[in-house]
Amino acid sequence: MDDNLPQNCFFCNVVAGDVAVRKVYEDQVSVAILDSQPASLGHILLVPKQHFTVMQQIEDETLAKLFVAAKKLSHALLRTLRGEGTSIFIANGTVAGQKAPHVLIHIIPRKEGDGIGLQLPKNKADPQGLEQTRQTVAKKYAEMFGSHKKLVTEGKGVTEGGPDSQDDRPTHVKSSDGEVMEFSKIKRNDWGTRR
Amino acid sequence: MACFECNLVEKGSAIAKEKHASAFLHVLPATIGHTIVIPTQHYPILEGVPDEAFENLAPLTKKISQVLFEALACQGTNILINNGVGQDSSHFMIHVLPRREGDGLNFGWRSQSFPEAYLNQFEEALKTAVQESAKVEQHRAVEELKTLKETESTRTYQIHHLQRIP
Repeated sequence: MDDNLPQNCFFCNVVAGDVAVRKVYEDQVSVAILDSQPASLGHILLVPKQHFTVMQQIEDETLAKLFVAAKKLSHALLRTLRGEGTSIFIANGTVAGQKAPHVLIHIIPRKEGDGIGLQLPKNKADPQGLEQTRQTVAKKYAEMFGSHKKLVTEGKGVTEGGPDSQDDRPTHVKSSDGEVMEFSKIKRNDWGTRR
Repeated sequence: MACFECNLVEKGSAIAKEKHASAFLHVLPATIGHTIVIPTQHYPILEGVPDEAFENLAPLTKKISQVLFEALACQGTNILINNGVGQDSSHFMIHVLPRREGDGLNFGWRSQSFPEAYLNQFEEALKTAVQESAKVEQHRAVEELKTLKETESTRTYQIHHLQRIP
């Protein structure tokens, strides 16, 4: 049986309403149920309605909605249980502890000393190695999601690259008379006359 | 500035810096490549992070997860928010952890069971709390709309005039 087919996926059946669950929340993109094997009282599974195996596949807009729903549920748990805290947890991949082939967001009510294994060990890292890793990851990020070129635009100063900033724009413009100009060299006044 | 992460945002070497969110390597990593995604602005806990600010963290968290797969050849990632308990910083953060076979991390818990009747009661209480928070939001939205209308009504004569045209 292929677990990746929605008709065979347990959580797709949960979303479809074919499984008896304790549903506590629903919106356009997600359903939230009480986990039948909770780490603590109130352990919620937030389930995207669409079938995604890992978080990386979820479109930004849907993921943003899931995040906000998780926040809302965390807040409701804190109020209901007068709790000390919550943990929000996602496992992408078997090696990360993922058990179902459908992305799940765990929202777990926490208390100090509750023994729930979500503590992060703190390993000392050699600063040089750390910086090397940072450069590798930052480089890959720039490759995948935008260059880290620094663009200078008048009045805005230096803007770091990143999808939110200006790096998706071309660095050069070509005017109708074939003149190529760097964005950084265009003065604000030029924009008016070159339209 | 007292907050370590605020200092990072201001002058740390980042993996990614966006307008509302930044990503840095954790200085005491749980695994190699342990990254934190933080809002540029300082919020202590999740409940203090406005929805819009939290939404802004979602795409960056996803991208970092994708990048870690590619850059560090990991086999999985964990996303973790320790909110209130197990939280070591006064600046809200999302942990993105690259995972590999035999990396020594073992997230997990022993499942608990509760009497059905107790769960029934709890479920109802929780649903009420969820609905209430939705109501609070609705109320807030209505209030915002009201203030918006009030501001509009105090606008200049010209706009009123324009509105009358049709």
